[in-house]
Amino acid sequence: MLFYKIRKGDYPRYSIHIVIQHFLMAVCFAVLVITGIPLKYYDAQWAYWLNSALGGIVVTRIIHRVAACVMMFSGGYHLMTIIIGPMMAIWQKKFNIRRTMIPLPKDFVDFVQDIEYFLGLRSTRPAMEKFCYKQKFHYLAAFWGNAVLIASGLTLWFPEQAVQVLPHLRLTVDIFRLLHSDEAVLALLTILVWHLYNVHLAPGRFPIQWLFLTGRITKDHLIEEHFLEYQRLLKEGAIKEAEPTEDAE
Amino acid sequence: MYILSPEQRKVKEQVQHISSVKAMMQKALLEFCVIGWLGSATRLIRWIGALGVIVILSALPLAAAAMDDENCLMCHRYRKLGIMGANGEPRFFYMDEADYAHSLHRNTSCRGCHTYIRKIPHDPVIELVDCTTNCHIKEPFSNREFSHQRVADELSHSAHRMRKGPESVLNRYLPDCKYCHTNEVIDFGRSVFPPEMLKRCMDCHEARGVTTAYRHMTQRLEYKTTRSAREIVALCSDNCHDNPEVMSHFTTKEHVLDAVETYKHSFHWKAIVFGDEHAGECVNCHSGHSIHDIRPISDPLSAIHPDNILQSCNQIDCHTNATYEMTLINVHPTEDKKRNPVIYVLLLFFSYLTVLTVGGLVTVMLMETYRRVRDGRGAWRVRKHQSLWNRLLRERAYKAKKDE
Repeated sequence: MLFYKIRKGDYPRYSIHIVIQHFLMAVCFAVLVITGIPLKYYDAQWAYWLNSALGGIVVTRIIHRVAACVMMFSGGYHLMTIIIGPMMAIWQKKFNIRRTMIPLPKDFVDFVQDIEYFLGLRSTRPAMEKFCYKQKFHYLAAFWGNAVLIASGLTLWFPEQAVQVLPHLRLTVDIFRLLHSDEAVLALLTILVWHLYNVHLAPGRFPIQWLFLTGRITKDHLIEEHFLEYQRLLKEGAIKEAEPTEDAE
Repeated sequence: MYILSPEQRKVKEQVQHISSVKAMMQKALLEFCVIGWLGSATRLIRWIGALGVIVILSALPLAAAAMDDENCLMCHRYRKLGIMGANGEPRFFYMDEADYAHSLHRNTSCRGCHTYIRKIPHDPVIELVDCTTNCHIKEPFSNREFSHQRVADELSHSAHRMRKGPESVLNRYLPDCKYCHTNEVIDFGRSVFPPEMLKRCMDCHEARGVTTAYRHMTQRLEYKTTRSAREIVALCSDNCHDNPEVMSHFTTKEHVLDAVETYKHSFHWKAIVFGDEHAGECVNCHSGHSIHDIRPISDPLSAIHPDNILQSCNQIDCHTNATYEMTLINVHPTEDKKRNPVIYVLLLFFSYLTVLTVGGLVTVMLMETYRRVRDGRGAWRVRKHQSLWNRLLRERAYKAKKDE
């Protein structure tokens, strides 16, 4: 007897590829942070305890590298998705730049208008595209962070090979050593503050959105944050205007 | 007479602590077996186990007899044998027999080193032990008396040599033999012996005829030291290389003065902190074929001289694939404004970036929360039936109903 059913969402939003990529990323990110952050704060007592609890650096080093490999795999997988997907859309003449993650001037306008709404200067939120300014910011930050962390991490992992490729060694390796930890801390703080808030803690979204597993978005969410996309989908006939599904019992 | 410095006393206390812990563990094991035998149904197994443990324990020597032909321990075995020194410091002359019996010098008699003692009871000692003395141990191959003279010769070329002439005022800041060698208990634990490591034996012993006979010796054959990497770094840094007052007598170069601090920013040190014994510590890179062979970078024979540094990186267990480019990496990375402005600016940029990003995001978050709550978009309530807690309660209620 199941009394409990998650709210699956009403309209499809993410493909199974994106769901898998997000899942791999999330797990690997957590593992990478837990095994990596003691090295940044090597002076602190908690860092020593945390690292010892996981088996010392001889073990965490391997865990960190395995997780990094999975992360790189999911990154490559994602790159393929974002290259092949739009190419197919262009082929079918369905490509629309407003439905991509590429930042557009409208995003800045949306941001300003959203702030106005938050401050009570507007009565409604702006009508936003498939990906709103928040998501574009977060996505691009993660994209950049991943690129930096993978490059610097590989340099630290294979210094003998990396030095044969890199120019200005004394500086580059120093910069990468610094970037790897600082960029990681920045990413961690962004995830902890921003991502966790938007998907878990924001009023109305609490305690969790099941979007990340089901790939489907609820109607009220789609209308609130992606109104233009909602209208477009309706017009295309991709979705029907349905009452939001009740929480099934 | 041998006076313990505070560091040496600390080490000695640790050794005593370890031997007392060992005794306690043996006792606990014994008790466990005996009690287990009395109380359990599987008596036979316990009985055999207890017997086995007793046999093993009786084979482990808790205290071994030290080399003491001249019966020095008649007096020196008393723990409180000592005097009050001129400056009010108590000076103890106690010699722990068990400790000595496990030390490297266990086969040397007292007068092998304290040669100035000619009668017993002896006069108050003012002489110091000279480590280059020929002691009465004979090398098995050359059949000559052993001495540390070779090490002393090596040391006399190193950066740590005792200065002569007007520079000799610096000598009080330089380490003598005993500063580093506190003569700890030998650890036969790890032992893998790459053949080229045997050449380290030649630093002390006659080259002639030395073959596998020395392979039983110590883990020094594998590692340059018997100490852990952390201990080596502590030995070099505490009181000396970490202390600007001492180091300023020798150099004014900033990268030498804060060498310990910059080293601790490197991954070598981070690996050591978290328990990797194979990561590079001070002497791994700074000493040549022997641990005493530490020379300044200006010396063409120095291990860190630009001509030789590749060999230092290339050591066994280190970066065996290293090429010349590898030697250009900064192993003492600094974030100093003058010496590494790019890193300094980058660090500053990142700290501002982090604070501004997180601050900005928190601000937006707070604004959004305020408006969402005001707008009635839902407080932090769990959606209908969504929490695990509700589910548990309902299932329990359902079960109770069903049972009725």
